Amino acid sequence: MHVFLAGAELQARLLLRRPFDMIIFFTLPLQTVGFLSIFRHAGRSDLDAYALVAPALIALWQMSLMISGEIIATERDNQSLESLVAAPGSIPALLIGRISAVTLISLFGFLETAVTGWAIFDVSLSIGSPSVFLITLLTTSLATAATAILMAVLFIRSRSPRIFQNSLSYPFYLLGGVLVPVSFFPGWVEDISSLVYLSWSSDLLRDAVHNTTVSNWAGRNLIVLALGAGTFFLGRALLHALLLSARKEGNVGVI
Amino acid sequence: MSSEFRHSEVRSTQATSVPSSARIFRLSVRSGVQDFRQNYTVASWTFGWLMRVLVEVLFFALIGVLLQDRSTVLFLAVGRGLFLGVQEMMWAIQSTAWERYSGTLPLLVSAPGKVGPVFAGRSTQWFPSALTTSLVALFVLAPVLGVRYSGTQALVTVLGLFVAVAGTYALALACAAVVLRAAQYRNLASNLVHAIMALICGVNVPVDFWPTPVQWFAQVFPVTHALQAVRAALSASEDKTIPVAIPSLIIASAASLAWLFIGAFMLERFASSARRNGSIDLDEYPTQSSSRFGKQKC
Repeated sequence: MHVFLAGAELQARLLLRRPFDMIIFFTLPLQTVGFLSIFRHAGRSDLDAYALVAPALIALWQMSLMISGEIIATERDNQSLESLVAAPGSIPALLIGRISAVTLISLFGFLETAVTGWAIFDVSLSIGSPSVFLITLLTTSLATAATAILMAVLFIRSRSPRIFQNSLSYPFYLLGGVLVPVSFFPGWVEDISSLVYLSWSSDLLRDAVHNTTVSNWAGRNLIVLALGAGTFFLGRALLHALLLSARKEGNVGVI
Repeated sequence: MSSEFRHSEVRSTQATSVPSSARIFRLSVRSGVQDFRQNYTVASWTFGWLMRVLVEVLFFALIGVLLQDRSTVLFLAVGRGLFLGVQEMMWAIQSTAWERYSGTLPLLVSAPGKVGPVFAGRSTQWFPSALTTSLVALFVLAPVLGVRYSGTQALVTVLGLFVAVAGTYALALACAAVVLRAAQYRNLASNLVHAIMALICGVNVPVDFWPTPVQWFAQVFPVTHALQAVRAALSASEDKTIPVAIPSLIIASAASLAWLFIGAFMLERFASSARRNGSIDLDEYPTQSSSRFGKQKC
């Protein structure tokens, strides 16, 4: 727990010291207004919630991709990875702590889109089922953190992680149904989307905004958690294998 | 005698030491190509970048499916498809800032010759990718989504794309000249500018959706006029396709040229002010980069 908290505090300080690195928070209002403008131009203010939820989920994913995903690689390039590995304390706990801080800060995107929508287009900020909305935020955050761990391990193996970081954006926004629900896609695409936790989260969040009761909210949130748990265990296993191999080969500093 | 020899040697050296801007530009283009090759192979560009940007166009076009409005699908397919090239050209800001992080900026500024051609040449690396991704989006993906072109409409679309991309390149150089003074903000600047363009330049919604002051501001961007030309052509009859597009294409071209002159002037002004106040350290160490193609050094 101590290592987890130390990692979280470190990452929070790093992020807050360089706020301009969190580019998504500067473009988020523009993205929100962009989506809202499309719906308002079409006379569909009933879809405002879609335009607010989508950029917030995009921010959550982007922060994972661009910041969490680079944590191990950044330590390697900083020549501090060897010291970290040699130090007492659990590397996974440190990594999870740092990623958790990123994910927690990412949730600011929800507040930002809500305020933007209200300020520019006078979007109503009422939520039909606040408890389901908050629970879904929690499970989505956990699944996002788990996915970030997997990303961090995969990116360090890549010669050019930037390629992955850019490639894993819109395909996952589409499969995740962050703006257009996956129910509008062909059946086979919907089947693939069911493996992406964002598709469950986005549906739940939209349902929680529009309805006072959300059908099967517990079961759907459990699916988000299950997908997150699967990703976490895979990432954890790969991280363990990566560090074990690097320790054996003596090349931790250049993995 | 030895001093006469040294003077004549210096005069001879000075007479041939200043390369032409065209030569500088040509060599910088070659440098830019190598930059691009370092980051992409054919496979990684095709499956990593091209596929991603096509999905981006699809992501937006499917909003029309949500709205159950075919015209929105077509509007967004064309707008986002053309905008792919425009947003990619904004990376000229990043590639210009790489000079600062490569440690070559002090040498460039102190070398004879203009610096503008160096930055301009290096950033041409984005042209092939920008044009190709947009062409594929406009002429492969958009038809799948229902967009149809006559021969002249396709011609105007290609012309509009070229003008939009070239004009945005010039705009990006002007922005880069500002960002060079604070290169750590290159990514923020690039993303902000293209996010603003996507919002107000007629990409997602018509320009006249916005309040009048915003509409006026949108006119400074070449893509506003180029896209206007393309949209006008696509909604015109066959015999009126070219006449309705020409005025906007001319304005887009004029805006592009204006930005090119502004960019060239600002880049030279940056270099001269850097020489005057010594703001570029010879031992300036590159910091860890968070750019799309981070140039990280130990």
